[in-house]
Amino acid sequence: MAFSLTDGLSLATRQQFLALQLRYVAGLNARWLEISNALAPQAMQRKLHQLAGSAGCYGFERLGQCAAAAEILASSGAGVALTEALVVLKAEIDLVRSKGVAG
Amino acid sequence: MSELRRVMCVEDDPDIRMILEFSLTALGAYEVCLCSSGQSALAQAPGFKPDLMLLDVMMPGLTGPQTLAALRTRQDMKKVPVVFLTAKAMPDEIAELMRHGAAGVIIKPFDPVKLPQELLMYWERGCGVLPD
Repeated sequence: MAFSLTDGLSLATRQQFLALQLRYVAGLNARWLEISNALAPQAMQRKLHQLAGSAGCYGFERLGQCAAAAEILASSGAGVALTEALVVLKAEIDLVRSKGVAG
Repeated sequence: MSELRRVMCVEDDPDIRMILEFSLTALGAYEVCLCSSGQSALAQAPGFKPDLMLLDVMMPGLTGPQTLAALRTRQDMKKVPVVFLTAKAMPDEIAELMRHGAAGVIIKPFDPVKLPQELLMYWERGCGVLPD
């Protein structure tokens, strides 16, 4: 998803969105801990569902796609494939956090 | 037809509520009421008098469709257009949501820049199709 925030919007509005993106990125580690520490499959699936739904709204569409892929596997109880998907998701979270909103 | 001014957003994820508020207030210039659950929406809707409701589908407690059903039992909420917000994008799932009486369905992730215009479109459609 390519946002058009830089086109025709005021500087104040762009700064407001940037602040929201920064806040979202700052919360990603906590989200990951909730996912990786989830005791029940349904709890993990729900956390993955939320991440899949929100990441793209903040402009992190690849992150949302990784979460959506893991959510599907979590719902079907696919053990090894889910573990692999979570490794990919964690790598994407780390990438977003290291790049910040500039990425 | 009057004007779309007040939008009630019902969503359990705080990060989605935050981006909805940004989109609909900073970009759409709507008056927004944010609710974290269907129960909260049912309690606040009569006072807020929304012109349109944006309802997340999958929520703990009352789901979006259950919240819509409860709203429709209230005389003052019978005609308020409702748009569902969902990550389920399969055509049969969208058709099922429309059968509940929604004016439209917004798929997550949504583009916050385009959302205000999409809601306006659904509001115009919803006002036109709801029965008396």
